[in-house]
Amino acid sequence: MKDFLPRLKDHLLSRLLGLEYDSNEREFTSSERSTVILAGDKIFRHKVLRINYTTYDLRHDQDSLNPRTNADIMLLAHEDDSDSDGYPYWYARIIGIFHTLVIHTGEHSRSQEPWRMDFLWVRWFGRDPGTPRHPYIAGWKSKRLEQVGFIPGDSPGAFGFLDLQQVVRGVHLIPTFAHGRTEALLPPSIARSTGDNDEDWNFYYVNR
Amino acid sequence: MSEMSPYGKKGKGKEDAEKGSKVTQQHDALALHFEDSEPLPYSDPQSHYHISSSTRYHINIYNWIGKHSGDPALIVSFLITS
Repeated sequence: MKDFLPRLKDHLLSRLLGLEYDSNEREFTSSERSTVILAGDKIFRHKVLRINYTTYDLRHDQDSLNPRTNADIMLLAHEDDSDSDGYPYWYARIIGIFHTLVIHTGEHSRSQEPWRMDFLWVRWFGRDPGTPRHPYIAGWKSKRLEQVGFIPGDSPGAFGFLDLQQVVRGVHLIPTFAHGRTEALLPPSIARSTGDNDEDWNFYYVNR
Repeated sequence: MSEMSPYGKKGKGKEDAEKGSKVTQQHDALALHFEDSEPLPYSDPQSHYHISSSTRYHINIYNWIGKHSGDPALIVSFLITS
């Protein structure tokens, strides 16, 4: 992710302006970004996030998520129709849970008061397409689980910020042990837990 | 779940006050550690999510970005000053 702060401000600003969340993360100009002020230049870290959700059999359930031991989440896909194959979910790993107090100035401002905004910093998974000769096919018919892997750290979509309202619930991702681990997706980084030994699993099965 | 008990809130906070400040300085990783105390009371089932409103583990964003300017997860090509 290039430029943590401008990207964070882009995220906060699109929420303040009520723009719909989709796959095209909106980039604002630096003068537009300057209308978003983080009070005291501070962001606040949190240990745990609870999500209330409705189970498949229409019951209420609650997931307790944290970046340290239970960090994988799913949300609804917001793909443009053109580049979508109709797959309904996106997957991500929580790096950090935060809130901040935002002061929104400028012509679109609705209040001069500091406004609490919660957000997640996440590392995105992409679905494994397989190879052109052997596309990865998952589902009931093929009796295989969906497979995902981290988006390479140098691509623009590797990291992002999320409104917590977008999180559907936690998801259980199982390392695909057969494909092993790799250092190639991301150099040593604070985005990983210390126990990960600067490596990632190449792929994970989605146990949805 | 016991660590999130609303009843333990007061006592625990005090007890961990010294340890807490040390932990934040020591670890650069973003995740709070097991021993960092942040009790979260009962969640309202009507709201989709719940996180603490504690301001204990705060980060000055400019210092933090400066400190991690080489990190591939937040490569900073230039520092914007407010």
